Amino acid sequence: MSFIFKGGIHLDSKKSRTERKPIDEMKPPREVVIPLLMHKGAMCSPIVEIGDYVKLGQKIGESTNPNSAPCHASVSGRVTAIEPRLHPNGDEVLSVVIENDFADEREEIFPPLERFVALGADELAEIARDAGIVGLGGSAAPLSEKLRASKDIVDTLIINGAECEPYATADNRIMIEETETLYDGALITAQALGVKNVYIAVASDKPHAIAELRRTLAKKPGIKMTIVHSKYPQGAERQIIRSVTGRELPAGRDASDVAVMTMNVSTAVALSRAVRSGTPLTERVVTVTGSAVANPKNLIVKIGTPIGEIFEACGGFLEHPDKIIIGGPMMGTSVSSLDVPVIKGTNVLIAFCGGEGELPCETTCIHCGKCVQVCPMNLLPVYIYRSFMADELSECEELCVSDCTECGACAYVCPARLSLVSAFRTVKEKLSEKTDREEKTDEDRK
Amino acid sequence: MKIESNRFFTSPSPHIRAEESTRNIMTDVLVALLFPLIMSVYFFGWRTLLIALVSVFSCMFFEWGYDRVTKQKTTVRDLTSTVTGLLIALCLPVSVPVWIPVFGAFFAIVVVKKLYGGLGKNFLNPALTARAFMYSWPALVSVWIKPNLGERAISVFGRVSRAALDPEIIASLTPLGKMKLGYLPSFAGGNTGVISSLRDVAVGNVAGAMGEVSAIVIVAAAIYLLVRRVITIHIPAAYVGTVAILSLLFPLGGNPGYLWAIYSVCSGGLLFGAVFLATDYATSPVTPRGRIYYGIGCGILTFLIRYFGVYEDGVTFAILIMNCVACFMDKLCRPVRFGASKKGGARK
Repeated sequence: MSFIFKGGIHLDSKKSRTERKPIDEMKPPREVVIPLLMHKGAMCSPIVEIGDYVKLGQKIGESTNPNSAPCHASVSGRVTAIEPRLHPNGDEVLSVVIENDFADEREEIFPPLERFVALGADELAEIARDAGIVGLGGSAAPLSEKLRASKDIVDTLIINGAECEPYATADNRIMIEETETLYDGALITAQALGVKNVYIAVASDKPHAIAELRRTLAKKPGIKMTIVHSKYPQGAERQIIRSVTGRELPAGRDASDVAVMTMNVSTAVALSRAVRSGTPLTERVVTVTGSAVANPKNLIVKIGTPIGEIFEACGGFLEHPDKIIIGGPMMGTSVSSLDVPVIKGTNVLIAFCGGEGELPCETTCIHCGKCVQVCPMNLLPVYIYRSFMADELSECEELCVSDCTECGACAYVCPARLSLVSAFRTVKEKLSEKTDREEKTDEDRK
Repeated sequence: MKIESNRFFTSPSPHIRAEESTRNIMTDVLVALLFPLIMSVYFFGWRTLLIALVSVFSCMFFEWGYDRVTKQKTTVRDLTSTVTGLLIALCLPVSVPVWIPVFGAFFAIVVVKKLYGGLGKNFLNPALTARAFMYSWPALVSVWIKPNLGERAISVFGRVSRAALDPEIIASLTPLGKMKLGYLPSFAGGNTGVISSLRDVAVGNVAGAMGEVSAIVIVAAAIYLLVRRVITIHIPAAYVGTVAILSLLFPLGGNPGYLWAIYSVCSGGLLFGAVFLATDYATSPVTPRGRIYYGIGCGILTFLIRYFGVYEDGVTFAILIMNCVACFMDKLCRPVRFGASKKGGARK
């Protein structure tokens, strides 16, 4: 069993509608909208033009910045537009629109390595980069950068299967149905990094996945399974590292600083695919659920599919939805349109109805301290919030507001239903603006 | 179905919230307060309910009235003033005239709570401050009726009978009063007002304030509050533990330390104060370590007042004094930043 991280909350998992449903493949859409920013880091520039014919898997966006991930066509067909389109983050982002010709003409980006060849960390990073793989658990950090940063430093690799967000079951199904591929992806990474301690961390609320992994791992050496508590935010990088290794990763540092690399289970599967069959990341598993969805499913979806079509593929809506959330209900973003496409980091789509989407009214802070009890980063949300209300930014800074990972545990438990997370987000934005300004004046002086 | 995008709510995350609201929490506190209230009705008669109703009604009225006068949206529905009202009532003796809690309620709600900015912003516990205020009438609030005889001494509507002057009915001393003189309540000696066995003290069959007499019932209420996660164990445990240890070490009158400790813990308002008053959200620390130090502070002050002060029971003033330093406790006891402890081990 594992270590326990302090704080956190026990949530109603809401996974029962989809956790037993096998992954289904969605019919490719008529048109895909591929934003050129689907990762953390530098944005890509389009390398195709309107009217070009693109093959499935062809690179259509690339950046010279190492901290980036290229974008690939997820269908074959003609590029009909390159223009700003609504992105899940709420902004308009330059996107490539491709009309599907349903020919599925493929392009292999690199020769598949059928036979097992031991890869070095740099070679693997290169493949991950070419395949456009990013953290599929929601972080969307380019995998190549993570591999390079971890090279020669880390002693532990954690494959993260905690999937702590309510409703999300995509990772659970992947662990059950793609156990071998998952194992392969983990092993490739471990060998490339020369890491001996490899753990697959699964939350205790996934007995089916645990059984499946136990069966596979019994036959195959080299990887251990750690069962972690099903508590939110167990799947967050800092908490999973704490739970598996007992090490605490401070805010503002990278996992490699505590000699650990973490990787989501879907990311490991995508990496194995890229290495074995030379396929770039053009599709992913998405859980489509929520009270408004007629037939919730775990679906393989082409990156760039508008979410409206995905809901259609799940039987449409029972009632007019109140709220559409991309990502989990704790950290996901609510969107105003069904035209928004699925991007690489999209693991869940939720449609709420019947008032579920409405948040309760805010009342007054009663200083109960529940936010302090649940904060996994050991912060004092109540005092940060008070300083925010008093407009004392320096006080917020002193209270380490920058450590906040916006997991939402404090806002969830708050009996006054205060929007703590958005308050802290505002504070952090103001603080970074302030630092920018200061830097600028410093430069001006010089 | 035609989907209209403008009908989607958008909001920052998180998109789900716990069921728990301020009102739910206060309902739980009220349920816990029913335990001592019912026990009090059993021991002191129906007048308990009258006092409780007057007190609760006054608090809610002042809350509503203040909001009305200052033209704010009223917060009376969050039930916090209901809790304050019940706390004020349960700290009083059953013989108290009904107008006393009305004054207490006014002071608690208007002066201590509302004038300091309302819910969550007051730094003193309203019910306790009201209690300290009501000590202005010592002859009325420090008269102790023996349990099970209440109805004979004073009718439901406060008609004081001839018997009220009868020493058989009015206890001249509570267990703590006797202890102050260095006697265990279970033994005769000194001013023989009350003789209470350990069982009487635990069950509550002793003279005292209405809600405070029964140790067992208060422990049951505390368990309810802990199970419902309304309070954490830090403050009550540190508070009661400190008083127990200090009494164990320094028993008066040459009595055995363990007996002295048990009587010290079970007598007076200690348990009631540790469970219901010291844990008041607005006036106690929020950090785990801060809560422990706060509890210890309350314990030491209670011990000192009981031993050296003029009051029999130091709970009221001990907690009020600690209220004044609660926010500093949080400042001093900031939790260790995640990753900054020894476990961190991040490379420089």
